[in-house]
Amino acid sequence: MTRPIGKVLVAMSGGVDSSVAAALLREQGHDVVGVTLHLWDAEGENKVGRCCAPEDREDARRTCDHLGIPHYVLDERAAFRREVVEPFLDEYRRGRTPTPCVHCNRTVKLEMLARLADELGCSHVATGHYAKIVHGPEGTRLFRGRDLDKDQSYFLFGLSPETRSRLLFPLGDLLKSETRAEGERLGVPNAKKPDSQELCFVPDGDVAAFTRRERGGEAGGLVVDEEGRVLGKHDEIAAFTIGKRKGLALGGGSAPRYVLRIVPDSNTVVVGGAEKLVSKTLEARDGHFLRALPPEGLEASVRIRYRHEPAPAHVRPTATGFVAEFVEPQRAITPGQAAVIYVGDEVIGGGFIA
Amino acid sequence: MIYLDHHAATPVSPEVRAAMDAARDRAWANASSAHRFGREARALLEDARAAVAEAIGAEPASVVFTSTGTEACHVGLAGFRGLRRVVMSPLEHPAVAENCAALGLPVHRFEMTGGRPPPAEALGLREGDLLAVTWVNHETGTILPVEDYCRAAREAGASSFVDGIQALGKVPVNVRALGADAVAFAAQKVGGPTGAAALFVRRGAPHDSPLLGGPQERGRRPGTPDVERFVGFGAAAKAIPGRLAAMPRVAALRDRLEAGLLALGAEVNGREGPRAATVTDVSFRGRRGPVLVAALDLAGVACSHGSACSSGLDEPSKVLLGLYPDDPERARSALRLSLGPETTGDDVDRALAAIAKVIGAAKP
Repeated sequence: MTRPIGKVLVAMSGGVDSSVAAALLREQGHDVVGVTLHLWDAEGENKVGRCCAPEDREDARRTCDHLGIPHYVLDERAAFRREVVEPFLDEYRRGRTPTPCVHCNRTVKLEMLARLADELGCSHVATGHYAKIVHGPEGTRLFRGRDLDKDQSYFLFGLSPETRSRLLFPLGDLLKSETRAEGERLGVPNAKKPDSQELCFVPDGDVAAFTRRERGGEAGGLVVDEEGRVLGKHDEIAAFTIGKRKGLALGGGSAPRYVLRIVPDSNTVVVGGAEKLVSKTLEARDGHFLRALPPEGLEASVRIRYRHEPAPAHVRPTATGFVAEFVEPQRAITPGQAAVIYVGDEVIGGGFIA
Repeated sequence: MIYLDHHAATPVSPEVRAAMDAARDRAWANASSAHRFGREARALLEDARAAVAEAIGAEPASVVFTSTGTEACHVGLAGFRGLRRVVMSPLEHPAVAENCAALGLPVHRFEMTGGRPPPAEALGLREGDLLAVTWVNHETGTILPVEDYCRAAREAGASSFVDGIQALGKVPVNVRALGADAVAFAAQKVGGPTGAAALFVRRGAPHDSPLLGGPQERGRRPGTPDVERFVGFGAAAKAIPGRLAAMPRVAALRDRLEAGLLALGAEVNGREGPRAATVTDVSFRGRRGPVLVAALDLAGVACSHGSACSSGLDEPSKVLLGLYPDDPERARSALRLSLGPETTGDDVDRALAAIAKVIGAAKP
C-alpha cells in the first residue's frame, strides 16, 4: 500500500547528499523537517570536516535555515555505541571484518528515524542515499541507484518492510556530479563540501588504533603460514582483514603473502599465496530477504563488499541465510562482511558472510 | 505559536522596546569617550545602572554590567580570594557548575533529601569556603533558602555567591537582606533584551574581577558597553514591581497547566519544596524530553527539556539527577514549560490540547 506523503523527516548528516535531498523535497513542495542525529564525538583534530563533528551539525542547521525548515539535533550517542560501535569492536576482535553501515542503517539510522518520524508526526523518512525505492501494492522494492559507482543499496538490505515502506531516496536517479550541481542550483550552503570517505566513527581509517583505544587489552598473536610455521608476530588482531597484504612485516622475499584466515581464540593470522584467496563458495547467515528465495535457488549476482561489482552466482536458501556458488572465483570472501543478492539492479536480500 | 519558555528568555516588553528605541540615536557612542557623544551614552548607562540597583536594593557602585548571566557568574565566581573549598547545590546551571569546577578546588555538592534542601547548619560551612547556590532553579523553579545559607556563610567566615538570574522578577529581591557577597542577574528573564546582565558585588567583599583591560565598570568588567541593551535592562528593572504583582495570576495559570499535564500521566519535578510561580517541569516516563520538545515545536508549542544552555545534549538533566538521584528516567523524560505575565488562559488550554495530541501519538 502506498501511503500518501505528509510531512517528511529528512535525516541530515551535514553533508552535500542529505542537504540536496532535503532541498529537492522542498522544491517538490513537500513539508520537510530536518533531523540530525548526534551519533558520535569526533576526537581532536578530527573535529573539523568529518562526519559527526560539531561543524557537521552546524552545516545541517545552515541548510535548514536556508530552506526555511525546522531542524532538530537529537542525541543518539548511547544507541549508536550500543548497536553499532560495540558490535563492530566485537567482530574485529573475533577476526571478522564487519560492515557497520549495514547495522547502523537497520538499527540506529533508519529504524530509529522511522520511530522518530512517528513521534514527530511525519509520514515518511528521506535520506541522501544513492539507491532507489519503489513503493507498490505488493510492498516496497529496493534497487541500485543510477550512479553505480556511488550506489549504496548494499547497505540497505537489512531494513524492515515497515521502515522500507516509508522511505524516500530523492537522489536515487542522480549521479554524484548531478547532486552537486543541484546543490549549487538550489543554493545549498555546503554544496562544495568534500565527502567523508571513512567510517564515520573511525577518524582516520585506523581500525587497529581505534580498537586498542576503545578496548585496550592485548590482542596480539602469531603470523603463520598454512603449514603452521611461525613467520612473525603482530600486536593487534583488528589490524587484519582477509586479503590484506601490506604491513605484514615479514622477513625474506619470494612470493607476496596475503591474509587467508584469522583465528580469534589464539589471535593467529594465517597467510598464504594469492591463489589461496579465491573461492567460488560463500555461506551467509542472518539472512534478510526482500523477496523469498525459491527452495531450488535462483541465478543472481552477489556483492561481497561495498567496493565490489556484484558477481554472477547461483543462490539458494539455507536455514539461516543462503549459499552462493559463484560462476567465477571471487577474491577475499571475508567473514563478517555483508553479502547482498541482486537480480538485475534489484536487491533481493542479503546476509553476513560466515 | 504558544510560547512557554520564559525561563530561557522573556519577550521584550513594549516599555523596554520603547526605551531602547528612544535611546538609539545616542546609545551607539562609546560611553568612555570624554566628548559630548561619550558623555551622553555614559549618562544613559548610569541611569540604567541606577534603575537596576534600585530594583535589587543595592548602591549603583556595587552593580557591574556584563553581557550575559554566564559572564556575571564567571566574574562573580572567579574573583574571590583566599578560597579553600567550594560548597555547591546539586542543582546548578552549567554557568555556575563549570566556573566552580574551574577554580581547581575541592567541590562539595550538598544533597537534597526527598527533593528538599538541607537546613543551613547542615551545610557545614567553614572559613575559606565559597558557597555557590542558585536562588530560583532554572529548570524546576525550586527555591533554595538563600538568606539562611548566606547568613551561615557569613557566620562561618565563608564567601557566598548567589545566582539570582531566575529569581529577579519572580520573588522579591533585596541583596542587602540576602547578605551574599556576589549575586548575578540577567535582563532577558525580566522582559529585557538578551545581552545585558549584571553582577552585584558587596562592598568590602574579598573579590577582584578576573577580567583585564581598560577601566570600565570600575575595572571589574572592561570593554565598551552596549549601552542600548543596558537601557533596556534599566527599563525592565523599573517594571519589576509589576512583574512581581503578576505572580499570583501566573501561579494560577501554571497550576492549571500542571493539572492538565498530570491528567495526561506526567509526574511533576520539584514540587516537594517551595517553587517559583512560573514553571512546571514534568516527566513523561518512557518518552525522551528532546523528542517531545521537537514534536511540540512542530505542533506549535515552544518549550524545553532542560535549560537552553544544554539543549541538543541527551545527558539526563543534572538538576533532576540532583533532586532524584535514583531516578534517571525522570531526568531523561523531562519537559519544562515556563510562563510569564503575558501568558493567558487560552495559551494554557491550547498548549494542553497540543501536548495531549503529541503524547497520544505514537508510543515509541
